[in-house]
Amino acid sequence: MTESGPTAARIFDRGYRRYDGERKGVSGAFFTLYLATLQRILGLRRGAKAKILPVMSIAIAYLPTIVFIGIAALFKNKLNNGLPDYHEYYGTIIAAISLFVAFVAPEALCPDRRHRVLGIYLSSPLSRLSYVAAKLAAVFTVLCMVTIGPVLLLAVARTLLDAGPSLADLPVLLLRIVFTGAAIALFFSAISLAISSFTDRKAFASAGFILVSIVSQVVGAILGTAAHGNGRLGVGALVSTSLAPGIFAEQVYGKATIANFGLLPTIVVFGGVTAACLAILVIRFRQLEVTR
Amino acid sequence: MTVVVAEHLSKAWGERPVFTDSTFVIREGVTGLLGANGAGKTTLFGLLLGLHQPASGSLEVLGLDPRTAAPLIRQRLGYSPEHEALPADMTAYDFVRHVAELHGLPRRAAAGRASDALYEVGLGEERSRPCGTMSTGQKQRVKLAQAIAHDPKLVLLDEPTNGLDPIQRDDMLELIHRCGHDLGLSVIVSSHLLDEIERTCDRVVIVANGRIAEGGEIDAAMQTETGPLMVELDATPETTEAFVRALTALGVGVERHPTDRFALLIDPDTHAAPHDAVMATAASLNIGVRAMRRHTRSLEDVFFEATE
Repeated sequence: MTESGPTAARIFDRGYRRYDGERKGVSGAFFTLYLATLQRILGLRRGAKAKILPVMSIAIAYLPTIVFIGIAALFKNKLNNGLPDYHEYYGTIIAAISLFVAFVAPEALCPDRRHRVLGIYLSSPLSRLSYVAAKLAAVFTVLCMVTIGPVLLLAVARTLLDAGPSLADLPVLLLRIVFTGAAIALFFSAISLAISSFTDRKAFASAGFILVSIVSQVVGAILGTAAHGNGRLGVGALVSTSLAPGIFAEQVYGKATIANFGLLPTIVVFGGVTAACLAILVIRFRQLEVTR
Repeated sequence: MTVVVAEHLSKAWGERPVFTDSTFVIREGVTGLLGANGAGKTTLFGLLLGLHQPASGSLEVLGLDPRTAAPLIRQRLGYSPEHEALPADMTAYDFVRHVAELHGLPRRAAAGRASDALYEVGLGEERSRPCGTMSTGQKQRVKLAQAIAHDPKLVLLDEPTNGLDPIQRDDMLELIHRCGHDLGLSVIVSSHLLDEIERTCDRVVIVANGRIAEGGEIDAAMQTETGPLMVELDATPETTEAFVRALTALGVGVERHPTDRFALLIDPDTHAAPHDAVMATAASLNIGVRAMRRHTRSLEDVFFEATE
């Protein structure tokens, strides 16, 4: 019944015919889901309401840089080195990151479960793991726009205002910008999707993140000050979602002011939290019942 | 050609066995998967898709083992789940195209085929409506379209007539029949309704009492070569009684039909020319004969035999 080749082709009143062209397998399915999720998160091909929050959180991330550049350009003579340093920037975009993670990122996972589309996804070459990986990649990509883009813009601005890095420093600086941004983006992607994996309602996922970030601030403050009483924070402060980006950035840029426990413990704790969240996400999706 | 080969297949959810030691083959064409609710039809679909693993035994889908080649199998499989499974805010066209792309088709081919598939299931005009605004009948059609759009070798339809009114049901059954016979796809349709399977499928596989068994070809299963002759009379209970007495007097073995009170079952071996005897008796008693044919077993009989 499944003939193939041109001789077996039959024409029906409109269109349904054999397809003998290429099929892109797992990588094709992964990329398709990645792009579709990216579109969905950014609100593309959807109504204006769906675009408000993603546009807002990205705009908030870029706004400080643009304002700084404006001020610096206008009062160039009065402001000596008036632009913030690179590592200082991560503290200011925590608002943009939080907004995105709380209200935009749940869009990646929750609706598929709410509308029970997962069964159809898993009947494609995707597996549970590659499904989650594509979702993670999409959230990570958008978060990178928030964590890497503005700092790069800052570097460009500083260069234009003659406060930029020397040519010799440039590769290290770029590496730091990309590494810090990617690590912070992965950290928050993991937290966000781990929370989303517990519910099929976006509102619950948003509330969940807000709750987690409040609790993590308290825990981070306790752990952070328990180790050092001298005004500087201990490595436990990295558990706090609002302090972590700033501390991590300081360490990577080698300009520790609020904490002084060194780069390696920072990476271990920061990476550990990220890995734990990813593990929760994967375990949740392994257990999720799709068809029974 | 076979699409599914199972040998000594067993599956359990924790301690509870779903089916044990089942050996069966599913061939090309339209196959009905018949079983009561909860018998394990969806579980079997899950195994075919490689979503869960058999407890023991071997399974082959399209010549491949789902344990090792699940993505390759799923690339050539279409699946429509039993429950509602459409994103409410996506248009039917966008969704069907998206699923076709997930199955590996390039964007342009996926776009064209999505339109064709939606046209094929009768949603040509509705294709740009969001799925959430559609009626149950339309949603079932979108689910069918997404399952066939990428030209799968095998289509799994889990209770595709769920929630449909009788007219929509007829349309859906006709569509499924068309997918299998005109579009040349192999289809496995699950249902707990015997008549649906009888109407659309070439063959039947039965899931019951912890076993999966082949019911064989439906036409063959329902025909009985040596069975009784069924006679339907245009009569009253009294004249039927007279008819039975007259035939018995001729030495013909007559029995009442178990469910139809105007039908009789005649044992053809008790008379040299049973057809003539029936006609002559009917003529002499002035009784009309509505039908006289070899008794066909209903799929229900086949079902009960297989599940005994």
